[in-house]
Amino acid sequence: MKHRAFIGFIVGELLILLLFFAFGQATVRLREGELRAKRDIVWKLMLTDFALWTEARYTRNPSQADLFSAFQDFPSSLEHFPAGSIIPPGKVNEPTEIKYKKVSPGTLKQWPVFGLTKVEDGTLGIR
Amino acid sequence: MERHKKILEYTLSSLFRRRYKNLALIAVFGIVVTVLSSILFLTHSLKSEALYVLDGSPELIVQKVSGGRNDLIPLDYMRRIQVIPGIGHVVPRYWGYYYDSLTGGNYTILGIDQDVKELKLLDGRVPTGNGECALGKGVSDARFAGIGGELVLTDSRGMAVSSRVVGVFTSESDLLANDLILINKDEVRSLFGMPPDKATDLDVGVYNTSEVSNIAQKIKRLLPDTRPITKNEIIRTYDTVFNWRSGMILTMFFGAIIAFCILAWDKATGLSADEKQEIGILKAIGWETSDILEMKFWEGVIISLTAFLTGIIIAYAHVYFFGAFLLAPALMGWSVLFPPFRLMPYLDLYQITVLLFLTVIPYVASTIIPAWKSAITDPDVIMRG
Amino acid sequence: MRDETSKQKGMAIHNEARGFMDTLIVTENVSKVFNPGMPDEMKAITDVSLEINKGEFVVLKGPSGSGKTSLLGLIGCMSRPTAGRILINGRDVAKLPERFLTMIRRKEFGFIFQQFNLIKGVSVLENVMLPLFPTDAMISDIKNRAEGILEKLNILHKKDFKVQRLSGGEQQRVAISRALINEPEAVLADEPTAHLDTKLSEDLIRIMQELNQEGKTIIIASHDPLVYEKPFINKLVEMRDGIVKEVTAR
Repeated sequence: MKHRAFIGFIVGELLILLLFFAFGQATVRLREGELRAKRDIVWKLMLTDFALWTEARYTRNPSQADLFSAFQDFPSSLEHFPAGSIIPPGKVNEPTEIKYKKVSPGTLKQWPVFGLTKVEDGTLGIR
Repeated sequence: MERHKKILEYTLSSLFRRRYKNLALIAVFGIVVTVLSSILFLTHSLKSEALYVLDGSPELIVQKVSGGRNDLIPLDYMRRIQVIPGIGHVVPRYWGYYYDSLTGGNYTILGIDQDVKELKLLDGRVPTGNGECALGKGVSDARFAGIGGELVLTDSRGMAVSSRVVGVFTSESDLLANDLILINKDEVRSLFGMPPDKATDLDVGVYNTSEVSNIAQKIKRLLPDTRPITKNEIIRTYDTVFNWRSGMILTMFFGAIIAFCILAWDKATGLSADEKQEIGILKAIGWETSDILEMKFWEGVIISLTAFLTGIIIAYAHVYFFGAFLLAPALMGWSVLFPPFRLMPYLDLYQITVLLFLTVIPYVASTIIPAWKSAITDPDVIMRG
Repeated sequence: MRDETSKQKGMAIHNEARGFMDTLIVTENVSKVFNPGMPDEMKAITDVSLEINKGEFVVLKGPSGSGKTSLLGLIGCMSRPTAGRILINGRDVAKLPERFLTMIRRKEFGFIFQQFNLIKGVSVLENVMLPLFPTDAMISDIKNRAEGILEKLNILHKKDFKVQRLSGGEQQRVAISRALINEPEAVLADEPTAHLDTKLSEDLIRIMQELNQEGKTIIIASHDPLVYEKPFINKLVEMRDGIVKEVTAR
């Protein structure tokens, strides 16, 4: 009876998946010591990154790389390490501040600058 | 219940009649699922491990930036940072990259203090004085230098520096230490020709972790040419690195999705003349519209569920039993030293469920919907022509 | 020969003795228009009123285009009339939803198509069992019944053959078996002898006659004289251009 064979097959595969899942849980518990040991190494050696992509500085330590090292030595030097395509550029977390001094009343209005907002006298915030 | 069993039986027979075509469908669908879920499993495991392991990273790393590039940081800055309230320890780090022309690989040379007496996951011991080193497994293998062996490096003046290998990291630590060379921090300075009043960067500890970003801002204001990096940013880097949305992984993803769309499109463009006739005959001999649609439903489920479950099983075995050997070359890039994957089997059931809904349901829909028109025809149509 | 005549006579006497006969099918002013309102609109049947009783052997006679196939389809609950009523066992089926129509059809009618319409690639046995698949009967029960019918029609030995490998005559018997699987009240056949030679045609008509003698109502749409000239026909309905011209009852 084909339908019994099919249902049996599906149930079999689901059982295998359950076995895998149980295996996964057991392995994680077994290797917990290993994880703690790794964290210990990170702490003692003051490490910050996984040693995965050793081809360039900014791929070896992506968390330490500055925004410019991807361009290496020249502004138009494009990304040429394959691993660089896996790692997205770092996030900019620092807000940019521009300080200005008012020269004469009404000068600001003549500047067609986008998104300028006056935060306080002497400092402009740019969003 | 009997009714459903019989319709399922007929559907299985019907699929079996065109068995080569249907096996090919299952194979393509299955491969798509295998590729997609392999990527999902791999990235999720790495992300989860990074989250846990990199929790031991320094709270704050302070780098000096000069001309937009990283520069060595003056030790003097330590004194100035130490006075900020809330700061715990300030420790200089001495480390750098070393290109080995012999193997074409890049290593990371890390200087350690005397107070690091022992390390886990290390065979042998920690180097104590000058002339001793501990190696990551990748370096040890590349240079054929085991415990008791010798490592020769070239310093900044072109002179050869020899070290005795006293320890090799175990393969379990590969993800972290594969390319490491541990030596005394004084030796790092002489190897790289670093001036005595500078370090690579600073490890800054903070008493109250919720104050970290405030303190980072204070440091930046105090020393404008520095760049503080918080632990949060470190961990977030790995969040995005292993996000499925990044570069090469996305390309593979897209390839798989396109293959899948072609599959579904083929189904959705309608029934063959044979199939239409079969439906007509079934309707004429007493099958209702709902029976025909149920048959089509089973057809979709049989193919997609078989392919999905088989794909997931193969992906799991591929990633967790065989170290993702098919994906690794794509991720490796040009790295000469790439640690073999020994991933922790963290499973994200949510991801699997989403994958299930994104593949099985559209496929079943693309099997049922084109049959709709045929399914609702009057039984007498077959008589008329 | 003699046996047949006496059987017929017996049947006729039996019917007469019953007096008030059981009406199976009544059509009242039934019309069927295909594609109404569209350029290819076709009036298949216009204003047909007919009565068919249980156990009758009915032949709908007429050339192609006369509407007999459409009328057969309406009677067999395969489609709905555009106008008029159709009563099966006294129950108006014209407006019933698909589910109930199919139920009635499954209970009362077995259909034999002109082209046989057996499903290719499927075995003889499975083809015969198919009409009952969407019911709650057990596969084993259906299988037993099917094998019984196949045996009666002398084709059980080929039950696992794929239908396309059978001869014309064998396929004909499979088609008849399929029409009988649901133990219907009436067997409807649409031009069953159209693609058959004389011998096979006579075989088929003989089988129909035997079924009739067992009590089944037979309704055949045909323009083949081999069919409509048979003496044991109870009712001959002559049709032309969608209208009933004449009904001859015996």
